[in-house]
Amino acid sequence: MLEPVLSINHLQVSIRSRDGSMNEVTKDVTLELRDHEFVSVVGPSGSGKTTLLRAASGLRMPSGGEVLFEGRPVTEVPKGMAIVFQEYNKSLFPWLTIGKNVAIGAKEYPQPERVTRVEEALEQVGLKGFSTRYPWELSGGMQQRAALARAMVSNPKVLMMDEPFASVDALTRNHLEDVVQRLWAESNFSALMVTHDVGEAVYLSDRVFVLSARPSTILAEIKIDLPRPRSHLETKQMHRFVELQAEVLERVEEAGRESVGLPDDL
Amino acid sequence: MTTAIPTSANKDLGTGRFRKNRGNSARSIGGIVAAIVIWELLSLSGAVNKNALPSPPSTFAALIKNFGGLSKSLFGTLEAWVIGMLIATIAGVVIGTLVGRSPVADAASETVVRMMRPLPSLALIPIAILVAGLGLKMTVGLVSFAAFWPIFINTRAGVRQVDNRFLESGSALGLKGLELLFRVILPAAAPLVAGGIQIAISIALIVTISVELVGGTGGLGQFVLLAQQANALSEMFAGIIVGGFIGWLLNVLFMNIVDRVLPWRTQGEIN
Repeated sequence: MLEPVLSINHLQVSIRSRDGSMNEVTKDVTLELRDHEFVSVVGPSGSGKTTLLRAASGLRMPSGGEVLFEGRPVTEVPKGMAIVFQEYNKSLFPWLTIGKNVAIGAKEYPQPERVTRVEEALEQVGLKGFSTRYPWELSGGMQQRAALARAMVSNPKVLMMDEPFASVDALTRNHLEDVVQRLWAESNFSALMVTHDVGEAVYLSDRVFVLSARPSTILAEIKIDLPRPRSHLETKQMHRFVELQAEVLERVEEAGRESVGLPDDL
Repeated sequence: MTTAIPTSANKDLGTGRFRKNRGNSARSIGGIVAAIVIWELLSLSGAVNKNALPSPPSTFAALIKNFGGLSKSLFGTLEAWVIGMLIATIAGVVIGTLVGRSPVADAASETVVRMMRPLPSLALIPIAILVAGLGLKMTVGLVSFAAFWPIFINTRAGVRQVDNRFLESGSALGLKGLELLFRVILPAAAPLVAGGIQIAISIALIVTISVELVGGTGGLGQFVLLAQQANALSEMFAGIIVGGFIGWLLNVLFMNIVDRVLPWRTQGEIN
């Protein structure tokens, strides 16, 4: 077996609350992301999914354990990792056009190549011709596709996604899920996504991890043995899909019963 | 969670921004006409002492007659204003950014800011005369001092309050240090900085004219002062009106520049 692209080993994250006391959000999480694998982490509200993803991507220092990206410890967002956030309107820069937003993702490439890469990335997500528009001129779904283009343009080894489809309507969400699935199938990156949406996790992933309530640990790892490529109409009617979805949901509800309903950290 | 639905307001930009202005300009012309009518009535009725309030026609006549002198005075005022604003803007943005991004300096500056801000610049005229003597240097010094505070305070607040999600987004893209400052922090703070400059524009003009009025150092202020001393009321009012007009013009010009340079300033709030 190849070395995993991303290893999260006994990760522990505590957050200082307003009164100065330390709040343990993540107690002990270990998971590996293998080459070209799609892994999701689901958990009840307040289980610290976002915190976990931020610590795993180097945006927050863990208080214990370690994160290795291609074998090297993560202390800041490493080159080769791209992140897509939930709130596209606070992650795309409103002072830049779509093209210039995406170009920041391609800043490692020299100039003539950069322009081509930006164009290609926009085309991949169906935003060809929107390069000179501003983010706030586009719908939510289009903005999130632009954020995906900005993440893809750097040709990442790992794509981290924090509730990437939570801020759009259901139909747009289905469409975005398929955009991500297609990008993943056509490229060779590994994806780690946190979401509260069990169906979405099962639909997209190779493996789904279930987080307990906070302070969180891994409650279960469920292998998703659904054939690819998947489609909303066909895959979601499969007996196996329904079975897997029920299995994950059961574990999430189990975790949720212990939850005291703390809000996820911001 | 709200989903952004494209409406005609945010789909069709370039026009949306100025759509309101058409109605507004009709109304503002109406306001000016009304003000002149009230002025005429006050002057005709004798409600206000005739020796203190000239009639609009005689004021406009004085305005035309003194066009050359007024232009020269206006140029003098604008010279001090421009230099003062330039110094205040550069100093305010640079120092505001440094202080705003350093928690230590930010906390340390808090009390100084609270003490200096309400200080009326005109109270500093005696000190300024001692330091710089009467003249352009002194006026510029006082103008930049007065205009510095709103720009500094807004810049400091702007760079301090940058949404953490923008910063994380920048970090995720590998931006750090000066790159993060120039590509994320300063653009994100720009609307607040512009607000500070907007406030400073009027303050700087008030201080410029006031210093000229008190110190007799040329410009519109001195024009008004000399007219008053010569008991030439219409000329005095002509000078005042030119001052008001230039203040309005500078504000409108600046707002138009801001609309063009920071188009997301208002649109960004839609989502």
